[in-house]
Amino acid sequence: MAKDNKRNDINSKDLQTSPDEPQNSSGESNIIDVVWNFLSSMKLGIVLLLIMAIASIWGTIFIPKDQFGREDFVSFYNSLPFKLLMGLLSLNLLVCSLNRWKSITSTLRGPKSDVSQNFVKSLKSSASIKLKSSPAQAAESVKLMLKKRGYRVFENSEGDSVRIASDKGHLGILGPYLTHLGFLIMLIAIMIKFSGLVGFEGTLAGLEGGTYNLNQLSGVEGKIAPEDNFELRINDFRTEFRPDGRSVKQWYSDVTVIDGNQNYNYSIYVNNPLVHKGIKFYQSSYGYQFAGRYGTEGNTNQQFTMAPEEYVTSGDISFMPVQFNEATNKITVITYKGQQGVNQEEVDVKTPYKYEQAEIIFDRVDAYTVLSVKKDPGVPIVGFASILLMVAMVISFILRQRRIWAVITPEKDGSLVLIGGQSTKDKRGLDSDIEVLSAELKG
Amino acid sequence: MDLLALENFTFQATYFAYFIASAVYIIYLGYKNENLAKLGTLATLIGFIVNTVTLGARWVQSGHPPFVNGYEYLVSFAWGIALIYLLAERIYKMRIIGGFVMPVAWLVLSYIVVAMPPERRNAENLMPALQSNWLHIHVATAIISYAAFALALGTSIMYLIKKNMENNNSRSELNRRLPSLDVLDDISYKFIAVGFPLLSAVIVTGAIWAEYAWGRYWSWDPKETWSLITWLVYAAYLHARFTYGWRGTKAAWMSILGFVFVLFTFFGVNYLLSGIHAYGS
Repeated sequence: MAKDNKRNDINSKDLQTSPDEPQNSSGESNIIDVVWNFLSSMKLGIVLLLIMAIASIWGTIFIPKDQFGREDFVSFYNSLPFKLLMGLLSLNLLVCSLNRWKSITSTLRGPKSDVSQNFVKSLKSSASIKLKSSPAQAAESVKLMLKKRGYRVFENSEGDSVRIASDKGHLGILGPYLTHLGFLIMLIAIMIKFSGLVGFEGTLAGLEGGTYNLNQLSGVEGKIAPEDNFELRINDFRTEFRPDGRSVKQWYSDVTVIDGNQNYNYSIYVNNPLVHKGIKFYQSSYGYQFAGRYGTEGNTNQQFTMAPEEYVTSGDISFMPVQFNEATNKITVITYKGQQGVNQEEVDVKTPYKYEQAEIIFDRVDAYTVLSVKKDPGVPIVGFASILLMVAMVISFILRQRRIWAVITPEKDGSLVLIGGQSTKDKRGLDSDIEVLSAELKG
Repeated sequence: MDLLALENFTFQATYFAYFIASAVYIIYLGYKNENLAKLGTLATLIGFIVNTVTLGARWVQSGHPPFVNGYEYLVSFAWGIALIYLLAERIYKMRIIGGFVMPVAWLVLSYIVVAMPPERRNAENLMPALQSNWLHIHVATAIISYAAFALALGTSIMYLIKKNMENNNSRSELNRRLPSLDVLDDISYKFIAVGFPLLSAVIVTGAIWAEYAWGRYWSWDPKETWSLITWLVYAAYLHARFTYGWRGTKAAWMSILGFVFVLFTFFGVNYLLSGIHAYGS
């Protein structure tokens, strides 16, 4: 790295605010120092970022299957090795941040003005100007120009010579710091989320008109304190179609939250979850349940309630409703004779349907909605971390620190102004500042 | 002329204009003539305007921003590249970059012309999960972010060419006319520095949308994961640059790698891997 950040003869420790490798201040290094230095090195950070990238690529190509043969995207990233990787990266971020705390506070305080002429000369971007005015006058105009360009100015005089230090965009140093903090919070939140340590995910399959107690839902049971429990009544499930009559525009579940005295109605639809007491209800799916009677022709005395793809049998004939079309109000029914599928037909509701001796009447089709019920206390934390990350990133790219030093010493018939600056992120901006300043000084 | 006809006509016009711009800029690489280069700018500008009309016509027809299917996304992406290029040309006053950037915009549209059957280009109704303003913000940021990376890709390739010529002590006209290595490196960095926060915004807005739609802000879906992979590569680029002064050749290669991942996030994930983003294809 030495190429771009020339180490300077004096005050190098305080003046350097670029993210340095940890400095082993003395020769003695015990095991703690070694581990600390390893964890705080940016090299480790970069290597971890790249390993995480490679591991993530792996995880998108070789996707494990779950017990039902469906692709399980999460399990790879939830595995111990990947978590260790994230943990190590978090630790690296944390140690790096702690290590840089000192350089941040010193940057915020401002650059030191007790610099030597040699230091200013050694800066990559520097100039020396002879002026006819006295050192004090020259210093005044340098300060004025710096202030005009938005620099913070610090000075220190010794005899006739004046030393000035100034900086601009010093708050920019908080940018990377807070960006890393945001990322660290996200990493930790993601690790906790996928460990399933907090929150829950359940399902509410609710028939129209039904009232459901939260603590009795699958995936939720027992996870809500009794005093926080409440009920949800499903008033209606609606499918809204587009004018073409076929494509779905939106699915709505109209519900009532019943929570003590606090009852209210709400329409849940995709992209518009209900949130009550930190628990969110998402429109996730829907289905139909069929109710009616069956038996032999003219004698349908047996009641049934069934879901699609369930069936009832009379003699050797079975009827299996497979689908309900809300737009046409017809049920698709497959008829089996023994094991053999023998007929498929669209059947109207409330109209008897016969096959050989068997008969079935569908009296009602009840729609039910499937809501996924979730609680994830990490969401506000991740939300905060995202905002922090975004704002801090903008700060770090917009506010780019530049520092300018000037040493003004008396000369025969006037003064000598040595001016020089440093900027790790904005060399061009700095160079142009130095150029403009020296041009203005020369008048 | 009805909107569909307008859309089709302006699409063809955009494709043609970007082709002319690319060709002119490439000829300009070997044949220094400022009027020729101005013609390249003019073609880019005309292409950008008709591209805007294409998107506008699509928007009015479908009733939602043109960010939904693969066709709309690619037309928007080409638009973003042209926009970013025009801005870069204004800022740096270097038309020579055009030869390395506008072909990318043209190739993006070529993909539609060559590989996309007409039925896949049709305007579609938004399925319920896609009816979210967050989706539109998500894709809009992606377009600008990826376009900024495309510009950095162009200047990174220029860097490698120039570097190679300098190593061989080339006295060619092109070597003389290409901007200095420092300038090329700096432009690549600046555009990555613009693209990276936007890429972060892409991921964040995507997470917000997923939270509203499904209640999971992150689910390790391949598309999500690939956007993270791209983010990690550019993050490594920025860190290596600040710490080790990884400028020049290494940085240029990393910028190219980053863009390969950008492309894979779009094409590869949609066509090779599966996941909930499949409707993006």
